[in-house]
Amino acid sequence: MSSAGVYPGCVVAVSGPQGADILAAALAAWRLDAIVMPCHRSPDSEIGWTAFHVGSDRTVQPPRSPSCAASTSLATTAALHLTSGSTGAPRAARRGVASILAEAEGYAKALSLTPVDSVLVPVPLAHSFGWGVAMSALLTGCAVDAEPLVRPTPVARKLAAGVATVVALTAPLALVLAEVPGKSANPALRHVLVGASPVSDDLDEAFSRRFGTTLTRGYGSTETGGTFVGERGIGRPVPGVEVVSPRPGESGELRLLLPAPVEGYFGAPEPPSRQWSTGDLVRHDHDGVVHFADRIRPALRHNGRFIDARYLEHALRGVPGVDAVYLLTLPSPTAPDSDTLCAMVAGAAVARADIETCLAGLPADVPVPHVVRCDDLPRDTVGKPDRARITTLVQERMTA
Amino acid sequence: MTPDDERLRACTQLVAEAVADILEAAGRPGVAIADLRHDSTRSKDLTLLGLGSFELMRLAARLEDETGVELEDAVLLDPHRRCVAGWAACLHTAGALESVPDPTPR
Repeated sequence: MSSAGVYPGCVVAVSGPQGADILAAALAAWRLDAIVMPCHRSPDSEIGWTAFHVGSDRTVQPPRSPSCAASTSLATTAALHLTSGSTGAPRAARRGVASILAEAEGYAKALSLTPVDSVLVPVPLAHSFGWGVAMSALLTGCAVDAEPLVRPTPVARKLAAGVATVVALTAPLALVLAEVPGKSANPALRHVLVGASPVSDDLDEAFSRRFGTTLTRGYGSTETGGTFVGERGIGRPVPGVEVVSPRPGESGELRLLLPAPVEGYFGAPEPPSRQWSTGDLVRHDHDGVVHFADRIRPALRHNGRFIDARYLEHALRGVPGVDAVYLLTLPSPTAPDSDTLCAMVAGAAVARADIETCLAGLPADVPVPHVVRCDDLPRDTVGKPDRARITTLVQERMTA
Repeated sequence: MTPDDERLRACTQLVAEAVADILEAAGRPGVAIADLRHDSTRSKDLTLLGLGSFELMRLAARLEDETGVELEDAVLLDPHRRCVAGWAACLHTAGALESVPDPTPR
């Protein structure tokens, strides 16, 4: 990186290397006082054009844009994480040095990590969950195995052999592992932390039957890193994190007071703040456990007016066989100045007639969407709706 | 046909059956086992047949359990080998079905 001209304050996008190579690239960038941005592919945007780029051949390419200059506004930033874009266009969240250190301390205390632990992180490190667990383990002095999961059998074998004391998984990966034939129970395995998506009781039972241990729930945001760990719901706040609202016994949007400030997004400077509104609706039990209820949907703007998408989404979710609904607005293919409200409705056994009945029963003030059916909602590697793929699919169907 | 050719054919049949089963379980039936064994479809990227990354993982775990040998990661990652023919060749090379000399196509 030094030979390639990486300098203090610049951004280094790491999209090619996998597993431990991503961690090594991050440490190299930090030694040069640069900001690392782990990502699945080099982002085709201002930040992508102005960043150095580490590709799959491990070579470091200079920025494509000659206007690359030291980003003075990133003085306290250690890493940039692209948000999934599940609720809007992807943005690069800034993770400060203090935030990364606080996350490590939170995970270390919540999972009782010590330097003798061996932590297995087979989930994508370009995602903030896998990145956060791996970096926290390294900062705590643990051994980290970050080999990506390609086939489930080798990872199932590692769990059975007890080579790891803590494992980080996503819910879809935990399900695939639970389905690997066999049965094992190694007492060395202390925590199987599942983050980035909710854990159902069925998944917990299936995993417990296969590997002899229940799942530990994790929760966090790209902007904050991991903030909750526990055995039920999304768990309890890790040490250093406080729940501002809702109060115990109440429901509402989850707002947190963090041990380190949230720095906002690349290109959109905001005053750093320790308060963070998650955008998630939760129930806060009297015993301190928090349960996820729903995501607060951003208002959809349709032909110049905001519409409340919750009613429409709720109605479509009530159609027999519907597994998931995703609403979005797209420029109309026939009238560029107007939007088309679209609904991707997922479910292999959904009948067109049932959808039409649902749409016909909508109140007059609720706009009727153009419905595109699919068997499974396109999701990213951690199970969140993949807005880019959904948009492409809907556009293809609309123009077909 | 040599015994080795027979074994490759049996591996192809096994992969084709498993792919058809997983496509059907995922609600995407319509690809017959016979088609999956046919030249044109046998070399088609499994993702183009509708299998997602988690279904490919399930498929790998099932075939590894049934044959007792392990696939290479590359047959899940390389689009040129991520096909019925590529998986069958991988299983064959790993020594799968060495005790099954006479497969009967379904």
